[in-house]
Amino acid sequence: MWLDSRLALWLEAPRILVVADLHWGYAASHRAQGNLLPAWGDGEIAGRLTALLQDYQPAEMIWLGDSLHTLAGAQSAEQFLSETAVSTIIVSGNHDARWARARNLAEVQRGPYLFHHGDRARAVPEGSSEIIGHFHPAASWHDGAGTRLKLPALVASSGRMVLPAFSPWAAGVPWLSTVPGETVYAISSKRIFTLAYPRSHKEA
Amino acid sequence: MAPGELLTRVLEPALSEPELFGALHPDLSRWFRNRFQHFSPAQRYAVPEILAQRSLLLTSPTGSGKTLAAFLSVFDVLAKARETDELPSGIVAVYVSPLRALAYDLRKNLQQPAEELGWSWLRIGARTGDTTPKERAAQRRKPPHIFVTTPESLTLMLSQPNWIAAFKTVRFLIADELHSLAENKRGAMLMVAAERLEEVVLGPNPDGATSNVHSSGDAHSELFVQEPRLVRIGLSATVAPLKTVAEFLVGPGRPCRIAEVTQTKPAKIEVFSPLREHAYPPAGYTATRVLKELGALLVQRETTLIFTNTRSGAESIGLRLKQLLPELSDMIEVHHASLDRGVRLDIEDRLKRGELRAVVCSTSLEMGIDIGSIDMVVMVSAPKGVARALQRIGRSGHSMGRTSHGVLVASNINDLAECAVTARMMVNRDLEPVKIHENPLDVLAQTIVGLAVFGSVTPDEAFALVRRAYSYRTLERPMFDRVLRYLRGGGVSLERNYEDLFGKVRIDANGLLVLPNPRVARDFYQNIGTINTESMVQVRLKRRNLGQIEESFMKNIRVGDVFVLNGRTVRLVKAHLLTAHVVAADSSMPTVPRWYANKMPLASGLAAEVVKLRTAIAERLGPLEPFRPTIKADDVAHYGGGGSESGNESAASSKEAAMEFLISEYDFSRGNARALIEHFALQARISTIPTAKSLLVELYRDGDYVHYFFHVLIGRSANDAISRILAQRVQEIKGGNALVTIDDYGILLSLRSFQAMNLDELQRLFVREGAEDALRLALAEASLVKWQFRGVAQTGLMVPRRVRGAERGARMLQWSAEIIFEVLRKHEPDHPLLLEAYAEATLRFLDLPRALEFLESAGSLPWDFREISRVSPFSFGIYVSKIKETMTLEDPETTIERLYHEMYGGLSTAGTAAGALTR
Repeated sequence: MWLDSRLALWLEAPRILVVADLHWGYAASHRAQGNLLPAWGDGEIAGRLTALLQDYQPAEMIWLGDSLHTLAGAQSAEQFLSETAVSTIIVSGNHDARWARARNLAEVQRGPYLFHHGDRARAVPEGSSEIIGHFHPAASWHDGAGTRLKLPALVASSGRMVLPAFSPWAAGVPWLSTVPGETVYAISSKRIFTLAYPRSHKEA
Repeated sequence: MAPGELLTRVLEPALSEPELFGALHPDLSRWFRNRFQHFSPAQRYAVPEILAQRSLLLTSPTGSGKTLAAFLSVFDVLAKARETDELPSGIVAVYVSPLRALAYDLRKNLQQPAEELGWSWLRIGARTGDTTPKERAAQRRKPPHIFVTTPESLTLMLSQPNWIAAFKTVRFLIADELHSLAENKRGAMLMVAAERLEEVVLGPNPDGATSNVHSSGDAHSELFVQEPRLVRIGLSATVAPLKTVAEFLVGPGRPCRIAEVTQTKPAKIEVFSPLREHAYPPAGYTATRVLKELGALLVQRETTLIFTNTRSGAESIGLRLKQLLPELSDMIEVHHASLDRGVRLDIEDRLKRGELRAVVCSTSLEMGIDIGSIDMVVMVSAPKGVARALQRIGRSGHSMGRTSHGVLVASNINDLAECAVTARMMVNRDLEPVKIHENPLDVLAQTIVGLAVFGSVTPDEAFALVRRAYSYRTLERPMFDRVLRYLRGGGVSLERNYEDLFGKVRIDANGLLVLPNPRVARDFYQNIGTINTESMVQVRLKRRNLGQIEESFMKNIRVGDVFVLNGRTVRLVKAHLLTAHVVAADSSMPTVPRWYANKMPLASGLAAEVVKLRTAIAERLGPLEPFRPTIKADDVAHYGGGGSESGNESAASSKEAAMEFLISEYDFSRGNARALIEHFALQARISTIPTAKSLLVELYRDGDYVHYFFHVLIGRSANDAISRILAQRVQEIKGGNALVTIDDYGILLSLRSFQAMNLDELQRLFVREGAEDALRLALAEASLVKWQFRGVAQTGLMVPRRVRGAERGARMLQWSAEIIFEVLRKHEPDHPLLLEAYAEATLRFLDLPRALEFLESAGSLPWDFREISRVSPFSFGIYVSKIKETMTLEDPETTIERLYHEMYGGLSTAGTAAGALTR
């Protein structure tokens, strides 16, 4: 199992590429509400996904929910799906429950993994572990002198893996771990840092 | 025409007093004579000018009858128009004040003469953000003749088509407290509104700025109603330079008269320092003395107003005064912006009614409503600016003919020099020039949307309109177009099909600016304004609202922490997102003594004067025997008293000369003069006194650290800019992080030994060339621009504060700073709102221009680079300021005092302890 710094999870044996919280149409949704954000983001998502698909040539791709930010993102998402040949499983999230493509699939099982969005607890079969999104985890550091660094992160424990948000608009929410034995992988573009809790900095 | 000819001084009143009485409407004349007998000087100068329909900037001390000077002409025009049956049904005069409270107060104050005159026909109305919808509707049906409002509300009304008719008859625009508006974006907003008002009154103005200069000269025109003309009147107590402010008021290319009526009533300004002869008294000494003296003064006076520079300072002094004077404790109150509005208004009312003996405030009572009779104004710690000090002192004797009495209290030895210089500059009215915001792009965005509501102007016309306002006189068309493109929903990747849907404005088939849909107008109306306050947390004690504290302060305290708010010591028991619950903790020691409050940077003129004072003292002191640390550092007893230099008679006589200089030139008391001279002499012996003739750099080694003190006396905000440039360059030259500390008096660069620098390398840090680039790089990673962006994005309508009537959560707005900023920086680094945030950071928060000016001069200045064996007295303040930031239990001033005392107390040759305790 591999974590790609482009914020995707690669399951080598079954050849599955997993991404979470794409939030297609984020800027468009905000603009429709009166926030004049730059019309940017969807192209970035499409570009990064295309590059990942080319590099890994997966048999299957899973979108772990919140694929759309609101229905305003459906057009961009449909456009991307119509141009890709890889079969894509779209699990529903809390943001895109009204999207026809997502709403009927709350979870999907592949081998020992249960994939679902993570906004609601689901029964995990004996011997399986769950892979979820929803939380936009991030790791943050302060040096006490004004410098602050925040990186998107993947959080893993024995029974669960929380993916970082794929959306380029997501700033991430600092992960305040309460579960012992949880590992946080902070993702920068060139390197992935492994953090164990209680926190001590160690490289991967 | 050259601006010099357009902006002219009123050298003497145009009419004699009898002529002036004769010029006014008989009713008004009679009423005025009965009420006041005579015109005040300000009124003598101003009223004839306004009667002649000339725009006027009137600056005169608080309480000199400015407001009435402006309104006499308004009343006159109204009365005469009524007599000839020409009284319009619309608004005749618009009065704009920066404060809502002031607006209400003024309406009440105008209502009174109207009643005394028996003018029941005169309608006076106020409109601010607090006006109810019912009142608003009534005002629109029957507009008041005199309309009292704020810049935001005026802009809002001028953006609503159904209000425009009421404004067509406006003849006077009165801007009060103009100095406070000129210094911020609200001024830019008001002056753009004034240009729109000009168009409403006079019709479209395609030729630009100079088409209505006809109001100059034509003094005898009485045809007020037939020949529309907008007379602008600016009122200000303390402002400089007058020509700039006058031009700001009327717009470039238009005539304006300037009437300056200086202090006619005597003002008494004193500097008080509890230091007496001791430069470095033991810890707690000053605070105790200050309080005792304050207590003594307070008991002698009817009402005392005390300014501290910070909210926490106001709280702590208020609390301690109450403890000191238990019999007066119900008549001593604390007033600052974090208090609940109800509490604040109650204090103001009691103050006005004369029920209070003292109010301790941060800066919140600096201007605005008449707060009744104040005997004395006390400023604890240097006020950091001359205009501010004068403004504060004007709060006492706030009625004609009474003496202003102000006391500047220096709380430590550095403060003493600053206070003395401030007092002298106050007497000379040596004001610092206003800093007017140039081309604020976020306000421009609001203006364009406001114009698009009407669908009647082209982009060319909109550009011409804003250029007529002073703040935008240098705005270039490409920049205007970029803001327009942003508002059209564009930006770099303008997507045509989205524009109609998502933009704020579009250009229709006729080339006119229009709104894409009516919702934009509704959202816009709710978001007019430039005030971005940090989100506040409401503090509740049982069921009572005690006040508010900043969210960022809240984040740093934990349940169980004790802090002071509204004079009460309270313990935090529960914190929610928007409210915090506290319980009384009257006997506990505060664990969190301070919270964020704006620290005011030293004004440039004052800084220059402090340098002059240092230079003058250094010249008089001459060379002193250098201090040689031949004795163990802990053996201070050997240095006590005057022993170490009792034999040095020339030193004693030069000290005496320097003291005489302070006493005669700066009105020092002998004790204070001695304390200050001891401080300077010790500086001269340990290091040298930094003067205007060189740049003093002190090197002090401390374990693995090397500290460099740069004595750059240009004020904190300019030093802040330089410090960031230094840190960036250290990283480039030596690698690693640099710790830089700043205050008004200098910069402290602390490096690890491996980064140590020689003089040559240090000078490279101060090279003028490339300084802007270094700062840009430094700011790229700093949160400062991001922080500014948060406000700019709200004002520039990128992330509206209010949507569909509801205030948005702090999280939503916080998010704006966080992500949009990053995305824009990556994706569209020249976005106008990003440029505005950068300008805000470098020009207003940091003083980059002044920093650059210093770097320019640093190259040609000789550098005095010396290693010192102990931190010099002048560097000490900045050296310990890190302690100031981190300490918890002790009052920061007291801690610094203790450190000063420990460091130098035994070294200085002060008078006896007994002598120090008597005045």
